[in-house]
Amino acid sequence: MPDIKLTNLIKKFGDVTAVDNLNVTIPDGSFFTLLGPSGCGKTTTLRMIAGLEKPTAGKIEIGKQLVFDSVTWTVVPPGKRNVGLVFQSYALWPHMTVYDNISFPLRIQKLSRDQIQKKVDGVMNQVKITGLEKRYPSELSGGQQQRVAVARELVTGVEVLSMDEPLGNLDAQLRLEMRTELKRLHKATGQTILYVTHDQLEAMTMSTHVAVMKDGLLQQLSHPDDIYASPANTFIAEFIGSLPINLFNVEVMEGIAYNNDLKLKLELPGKFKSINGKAILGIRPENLSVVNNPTKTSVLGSVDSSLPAGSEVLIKVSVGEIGLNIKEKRGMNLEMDSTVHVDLDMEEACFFDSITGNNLLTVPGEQKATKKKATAQ
Amino acid sequence: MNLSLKNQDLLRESPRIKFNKFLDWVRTPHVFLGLLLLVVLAYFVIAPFWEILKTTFVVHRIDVRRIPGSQAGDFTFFYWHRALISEMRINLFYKPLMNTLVVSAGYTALAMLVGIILAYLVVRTNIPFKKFIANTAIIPYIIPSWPMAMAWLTLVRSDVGSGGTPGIIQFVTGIALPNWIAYGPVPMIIILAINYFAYTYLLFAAALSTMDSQLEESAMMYGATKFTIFRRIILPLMFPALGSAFILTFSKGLGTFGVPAFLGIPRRYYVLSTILYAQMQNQRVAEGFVAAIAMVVLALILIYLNNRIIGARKQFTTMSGKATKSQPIDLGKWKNPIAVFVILFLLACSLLPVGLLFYQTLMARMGDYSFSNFTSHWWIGTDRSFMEGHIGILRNPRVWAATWNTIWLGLFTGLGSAALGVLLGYAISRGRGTKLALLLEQASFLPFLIPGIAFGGIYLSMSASRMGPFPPLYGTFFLLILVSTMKRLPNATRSGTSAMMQVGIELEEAAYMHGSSWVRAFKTILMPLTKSGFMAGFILTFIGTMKALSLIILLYTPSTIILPVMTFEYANRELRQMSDGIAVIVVIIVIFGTWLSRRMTGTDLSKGFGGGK
Ligand SMILES: Nc1ncnc2c1ncn2[C@@H]1O[C@H](COP(=O)(O)OP(=O)(O)OP(=O)(O)O)[C@@H](O)[C@H]1O
Ligand SMILES: [Mg+2]
Repeated sequence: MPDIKLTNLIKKFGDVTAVDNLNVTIPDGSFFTLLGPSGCGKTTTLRMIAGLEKPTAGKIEIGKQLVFDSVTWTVVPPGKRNVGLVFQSYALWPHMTVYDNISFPLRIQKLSRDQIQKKVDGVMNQVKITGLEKRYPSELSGGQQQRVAVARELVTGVEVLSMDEPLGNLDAQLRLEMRTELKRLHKATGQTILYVTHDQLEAMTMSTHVAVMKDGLLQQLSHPDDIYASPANTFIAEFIGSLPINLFNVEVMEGIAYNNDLKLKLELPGKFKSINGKAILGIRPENLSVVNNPTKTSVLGSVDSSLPAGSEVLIKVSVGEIGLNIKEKRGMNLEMDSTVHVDLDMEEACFFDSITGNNLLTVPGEQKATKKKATAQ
Repeated sequence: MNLSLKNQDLLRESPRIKFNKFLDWVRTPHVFLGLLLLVVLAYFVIAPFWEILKTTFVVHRIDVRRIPGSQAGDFTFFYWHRALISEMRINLFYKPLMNTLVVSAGYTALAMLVGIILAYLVVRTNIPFKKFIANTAIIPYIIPSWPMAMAWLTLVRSDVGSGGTPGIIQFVTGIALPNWIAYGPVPMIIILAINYFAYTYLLFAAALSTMDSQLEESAMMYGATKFTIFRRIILPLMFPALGSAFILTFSKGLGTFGVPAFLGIPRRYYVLSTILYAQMQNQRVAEGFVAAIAMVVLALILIYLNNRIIGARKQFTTMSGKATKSQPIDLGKWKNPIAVFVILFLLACSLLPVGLLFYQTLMARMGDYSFSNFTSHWWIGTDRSFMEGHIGILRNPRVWAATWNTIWLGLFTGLGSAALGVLLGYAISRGRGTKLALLLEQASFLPFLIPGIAFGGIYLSMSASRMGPFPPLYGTFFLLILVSTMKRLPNATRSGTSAMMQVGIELEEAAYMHGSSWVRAFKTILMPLTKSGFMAGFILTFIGTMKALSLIILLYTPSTIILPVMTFEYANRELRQMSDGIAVIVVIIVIFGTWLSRRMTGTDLSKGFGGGK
C-alpha cells in the first residue's frame, strides 16, 4: 500500500501560482486533510494527485509508481493511478440510475454481470443506501447523493480515496452525522483518505494529519492537536479554532513578557527561556480564566460582555486597547463594566516572531512550514 | 526550490521532453479534436473565404481577352476597378449597394415599428386574445420569405406596363395597381418587414416584461400622459433591446436573396445579393464576388456595432431583475377594435399568403380568379395534352424527387451540422481561453459573414477540382450537403457550445477517474446529456435547409434539385401554379417541422430563434 509523495510540486495558471513548491508525504492509511481558506490551492493539489491537472513542475509518486514527473514529462492518466475522487459537486451522472452510476467503473473493467451485482450490493450496503438502486440522482437528498458518490469510488477498491469538500453542500446536522461515518469508513477500509476542506472543525475532528495551506504555500503539516496547540504561525493560529485566538504584542526580557501600554507583566515558564525581545503572544480563550486575586500571570481588565452559550460562557474583557476572549465554564456571571483579573495559562501560550509571524519555538519532529511568505501580524 | 529551478532549466533544454510535452498536449481530447476540426474548417470554411478574396484579384481564363496583355492567373485590379471606378460602377456596384441599404433600412424601420407596437400591446395593455396574438405573431417569421413574395405578386400584379397577367386585386376591382407596388423596393420592404418583425417583437416583449414598472408609475404621478411616458421613459430604457433588434433584423435581411429575386429581378431592380447572382449567371464570377465582399464588410460593420451596443447594455442598471407586475393599461372602448385589427393584420401576414398561393394553384389559366376557372389539374392532373404537358404536382415524379431531395438534404445537413456543432462545442468549451478554441470559434463563425449566394458561388468554383480528401464534387448531392452543413456551422457551433457548457466538466472527469476512454465518456455521458440540444439544433437546421434557396441556386443540377429551387425555376418560366403549389408544400413542411420541434424539445420558439434563416 502506498505513501503519496509530492516533490517540489508547482502549479501555475497563467500568472497565478495556485500551488507553490509543495513537498509533502501522505502516509499510507492516514486520514490526511488539506485545510486552508478559499483559493489557497487545495482543489488544485487534489486534482494533480488524481491526474486531472498537470503540474507545471515537480514530481508525484504514489507508492512505487511515478505518476507524474516534469523532468521527463511522465504522465500517468487518472484511471491508472488507483485513486478515487469524490468531487465537490459529486459529479453523479444525472441520466443514469444510482445502480448505473455505481457500476460504471466495474463495467469499464468488464466484470461479469454477477460480479458487478455483488460488488455494487456490497458497497451500497456499506454506505447505507440499499434500496435506492433505481433512483436517479435528482431524486436523492444531498446526503444520499454524497453516499452514492462515495460508493462509486469505493466499489473498485481504490487504495486512495480523495474527497473535495464532500460535506460542503450538506446542512449542519447532516454534516455532523457524515463526519462520524467518514471516520468509521476510514477505520473499516484502512484506505488512505485524502480530504480537502476549508472548515477547520471538520479537519480537526476527523484527520490524523492536517496540512494547512495559504496562497499555494504549505504552512504546517502535523497532527491536528499539534496544530491547535502549537500553530506554526499567526495565520494558522487565527485560522484554527472555533473561537478567535488572543494575539498581542509583548516584549520579552529575562523570562518575563511585558507590555507597558497594557500594564502587563507575565512570568514565563521555563520552556520559553530562549525567547528574547519583541514577540507576539498567542493564547487561546480556554486558557484564560477569570480569577479573584492577581497572580504572576494575570492582567487587570474590565468586562465588555458576558455571553452564556449553553455549556460555556464567552467573556470579552478589554485590557487597554485590546480585547481578550475568554471561554469559561457554565455558571460564571459577570457584571458588565466590572473590573476583573484574568489569569493566562502561560504553559499553553505560543510566541510568534513580531515580523514574520512564525512560531518562535520549533516543535520537534514536524515538517516545517515554508518560510518564504508566512504572515506578519 | 533550487531543485525545481533546475527542473525548469532541464525542461527548456531537452528537445525530447519538449516532444513528450507536445505529444501529451496533442493527446488531450479537446486539443486532438480541436486540431482535427481546425483542418476541416481550414478546408471548408477558411479556404472558401480566402478564395473569394483571391478570385477578385486574379485574371480568369474567360476574361483574358477583356484584359489586354494578361494571362489567366495574373494578378489584376481589373475587377475592382471595373466595379468601383469604371463607367460600369453605377450599375455594377453603387446602385445595388444603395438599393441594399435603402431596402434594408426600410424594412428594418417598418419591422421594428410593427414589432414594438405588437409587443407593447401584448405586454402592457389589456388587449384580449393575448395568447393567440403572441403565437400568431411568430408565424410570419417561420414561413420562408420568398413564398410571401410570390403571394404578394398574386395579389397586386397587374397587366399594365410590361404586360403579364392580372393579380387578384385587379381581377376583382378592375383597378390596375401601379408597377412600383408589385415590384421594386416598396414590396421588398413590406414583405421583409412582415418576415422579420418577430425579432423586434420577441426582444422588445422580453425587455418590456422585465422593466421595473415603478419607473413608469412614478412618471404617471407627475401627470405625464401615456404617450409621453412611452416616448420619454419606456423607449429610452428599451434602447439596448431595440439596438439588438435593429442589428439582428438588419443583418438577417442583408444577404437575403429570394425576395429581391422575385420582386426585383423581373424589373431589373438589383440589390447586392441579386447582382451577385446575375454576375455568376453570366460567368462574371469575380465581379460577383466584389459584391459578396461588400456584403461581408457590411456584416462586419453590423457586428462591430452590435458589440458596441451589447457593451453599452451592461451599463444599464435600470432594469431590476424582479419585475413588479404593473397594472395593464386599459384600452377602454378601443380594446376590441384594436384586437380585431391586430388579429386581422397577423392573419394577413400568415394565413393569407399561404391561402393566396393555394388559390392560385387552383386556377386553370392565370389571371382569371373566378370559380369557372377552377381546376384540380395542377395538383393531381394526369392529362398531358393539357397545360403544355405539365401534370399535377402530386403526380409529378420530378416534384417527388425534389421533395425527397429536400428532405434528405435537411436530414443529412441537420445530422452533419449538429454533429459538427457538438464536436466543435466540445473543443471550444473545454479549451475555453486557449488560442486553439478561440481560433475554432472564430473560424466556425465565418460562414455567417458570407451571404448564402456567395457561399454557394465559391463552392461552385471550388467543386470543380479536388477539395480536401474529396474528388471533384460538382453535380453530386454530397456537395449540397457539404455546403449546407458548412453554412449552418455558426448556428450549430453556438448551440453545440452552449449545450456542452451545460455539462459540467466534472461529469466527464469522473469517468476518466475510472479509466474510461474519451470515446466512451463521450458516448455514455456527453452524448446523452447533450441530446436535447443536439435534437433542437438538428430540427432548426432541418427547417433552415427547407428554406435555403440562395445557397443551392448556383449548385443544383436537374437530379439534385430541391423544392425551393424548383419554385424559383418554375416561377422564372412563368408557371405560377406549379411554383406556388411547391411553395405551399415547402411552407407545410416547415410549419410541421417547427411544430414537431416544439413538441419534442418543449422549447419556446422565442428561445430558439436566430436559428432559422
Ligand atoms: N483552471 C484554472 N484556471 C485559472 N486559475 C485557476 C484554475 N483553477 C484554479 N485556479 C486558481 O488557482 C488558485 C487555487 O484554486 P483552487 O481551486 O485550488 O482553490 P481551493 O483551495 O480549492 O479553493 P476553494 O476552497 O474555494 O475550493 C485560485 O486562485 C484559483 O483562482
Ligand atoms: Mg476547491
